[in-house]
Amino acid sequence: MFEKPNKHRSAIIGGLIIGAISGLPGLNFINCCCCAGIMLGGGISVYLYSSEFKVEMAPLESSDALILGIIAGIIGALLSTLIGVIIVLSFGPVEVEMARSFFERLTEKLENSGSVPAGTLDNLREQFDDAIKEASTVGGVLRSLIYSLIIYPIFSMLGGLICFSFFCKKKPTSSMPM
Amino acid sequence: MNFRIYILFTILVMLWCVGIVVAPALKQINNETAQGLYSFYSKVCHQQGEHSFHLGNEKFGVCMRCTSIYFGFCLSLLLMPLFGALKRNKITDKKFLTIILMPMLIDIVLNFLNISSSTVETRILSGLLFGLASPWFILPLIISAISKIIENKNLKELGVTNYVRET
Repeated sequence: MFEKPNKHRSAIIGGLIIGAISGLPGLNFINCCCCAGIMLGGGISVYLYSSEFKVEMAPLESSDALILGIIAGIIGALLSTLIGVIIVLSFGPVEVEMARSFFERLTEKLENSGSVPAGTLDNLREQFDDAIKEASTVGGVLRSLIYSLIIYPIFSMLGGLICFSFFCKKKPTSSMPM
Repeated sequence: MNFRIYILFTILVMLWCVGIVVAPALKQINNETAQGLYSFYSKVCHQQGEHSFHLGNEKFGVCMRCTSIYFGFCLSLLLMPLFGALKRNKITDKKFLTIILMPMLIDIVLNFLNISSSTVETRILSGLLFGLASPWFILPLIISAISKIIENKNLKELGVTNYVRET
């Protein structure tokens, strides 16, 4: 029986997806829905990894999905923080203000049509102000990185495990004595 | 070992839930830690005031739906041993997770498409249903995965992996 494929490629792709979804302004709102973007990244990394398996290899196990999810989450946390810093350093507050005005207009339209609840605009404005404050200080960036390093691996791991149970055939192996 | 994993996981979930309630409590007494907690939970929730439970005048760390999910999850975790769930050697069917996710997804989608607005009741009930049911699916997966890691580690220490490869 051959060894399992290397996890690096799948974990990096999963991490890239998490980083892109969580780091890009606007796109990161997906995470407001139970960290869906992070879980998606973890799930995709496991799915990609499972597609690398050949018949003669040892089967994919839940432990692989767990480890892969955690690694993808860590990469995603680092990457999303990096993207956040790059955006602030490259475009500065002017660009953030532009993004804010774009999203404000969009949210205002959605709010008027009733697609999003009233008060979303105020909330968005508050979040942008907080984000600018947080992103422009070293302490804020470090704090954000620490929070991400705690949260992302957890949800990415859950995404990976859920994907494993959905897409990978597996017989349960653990007994659960009390 | 599995029971230890369960205990550790339950403690972590309980800490997560406690943080949600502690954030407004600390904010009421103007403790600076509150802002850190809100900032922490902002990574997983939109934290809209009008969609949140309140403690005094301060909103919880996460919205109503998220609060229902997490507290439902925690409650279900605490009740699982009473139903003998830890003795069963079976991962719950994936269809089960899909079905219990449906009410919440329908509520979110209908609200977004402006067909039917979410109410406090629909947010709490759909979130609670998902929260209460999901540990039955997730916990066996986590226990199975961690057990496997420990098992593989022990085998490696014993040199069994090398022996199997060589043969």
